[in-house]
Amino acid sequence: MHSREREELFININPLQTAGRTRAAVRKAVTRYVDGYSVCDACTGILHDIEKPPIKSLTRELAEFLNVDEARTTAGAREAKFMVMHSECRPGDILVLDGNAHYSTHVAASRAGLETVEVPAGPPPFFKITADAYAQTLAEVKARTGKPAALALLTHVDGDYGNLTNAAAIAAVCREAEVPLLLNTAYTTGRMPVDVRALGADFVACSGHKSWGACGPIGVVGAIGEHAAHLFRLDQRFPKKNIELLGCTARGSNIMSLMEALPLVKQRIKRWEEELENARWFAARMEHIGKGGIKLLGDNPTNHDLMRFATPLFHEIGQRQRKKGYFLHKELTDRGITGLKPGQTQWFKMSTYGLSRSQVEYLAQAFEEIAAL
Amino acid sequence: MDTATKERNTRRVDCTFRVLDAMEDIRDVWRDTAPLQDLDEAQRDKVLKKIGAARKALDLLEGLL
Repeated sequence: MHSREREELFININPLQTAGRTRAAVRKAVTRYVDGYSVCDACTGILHDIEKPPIKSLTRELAEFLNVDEARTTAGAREAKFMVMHSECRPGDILVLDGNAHYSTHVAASRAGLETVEVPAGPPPFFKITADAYAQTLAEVKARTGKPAALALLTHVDGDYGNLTNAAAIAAVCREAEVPLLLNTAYTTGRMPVDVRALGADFVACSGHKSWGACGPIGVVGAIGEHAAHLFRLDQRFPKKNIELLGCTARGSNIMSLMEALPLVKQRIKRWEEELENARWFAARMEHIGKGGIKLLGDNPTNHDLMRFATPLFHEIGQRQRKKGYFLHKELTDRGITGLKPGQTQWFKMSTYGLSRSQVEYLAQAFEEIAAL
Repeated sequence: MDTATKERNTRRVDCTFRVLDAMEDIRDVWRDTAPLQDLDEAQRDKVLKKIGAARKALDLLEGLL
């Protein structure tokens, strides 16, 4: 029997996992719907029309929550991104994407046969993605090919630096260039308030297991206006089945976990300022502890709970320790903290999402003790 | 199946889920207080209440065998 007690016994700071941590209500639903195809007892032909359990109303609620015209569940954000690329573009078309985009965005583009053109990130230590850089790249693509790019993608908050982009400004640039915009919100929707229509994006991709406290694999794809009609077009032979969804997507405990997570998400996004305050307090404390040997990269002050630190101080301490580069992981584990990659000391990514202030203080205290070794 | 059997089976399954649910609620307390699990009074009360609920469901379940 495999077991995992990481969330109960440790403070987990792995940024991939902190906002996917489930609450009891979610796990109770998972227990009840853990059997394969368990949501399909009262199916009338398509997943998003099932009324018992209330998947039909969940689908409507997701669209309202994101403020898009239509939304559907997917197996994750990457599947959502691929769907949009496959639906909007033809092989050989150009996708303009930010230089901080996740690898799965690139892989999805490859699968859809697209040429990718990157909007470069700004110089270190901030690695900023700007609307001006988008405007320039979109103009260069048009000048080279004689037509606008088929699609633009923006990583709302990236997984390397936790930089929050100015999505509204970038959406305005895309609109001006007549290029539809897909907003990858894997690190934002579910954690913080996001209004897709107000931002001006045409599509949105979300990750339930990364940012909505759902067990997954589960994501959401949303679209606005005529883009929605095309993205969710139906098959001719099987007229209830959406082509891009391959009919039905999440059909078990994953969609039930999202259903139970959504009311919790609606509450927790109201506490985003508190989350931000915790992250900023922690980052400032780390830089203070490091005395120049710990530096926050990306937005500073941070605008997200995911933070990347350059930590030459810990690298230097590691040289004097028996465990060398593995000392940091060991020292943290000894203090009941997990989530850093073993052997990593020169830099690391982490997240304070969902931790209480006392847990964040405990975390800072642990790093302070280790910095004094 | 007769009504009495149906009712008994439903109660057995209901008790089983009540125990599982109580354990999930307790699991949230461990998550909220990791890694030290120094419980404040409210958290301690919650754990005790959930243990009581689980115990009651287990006793009931035992009686239904």
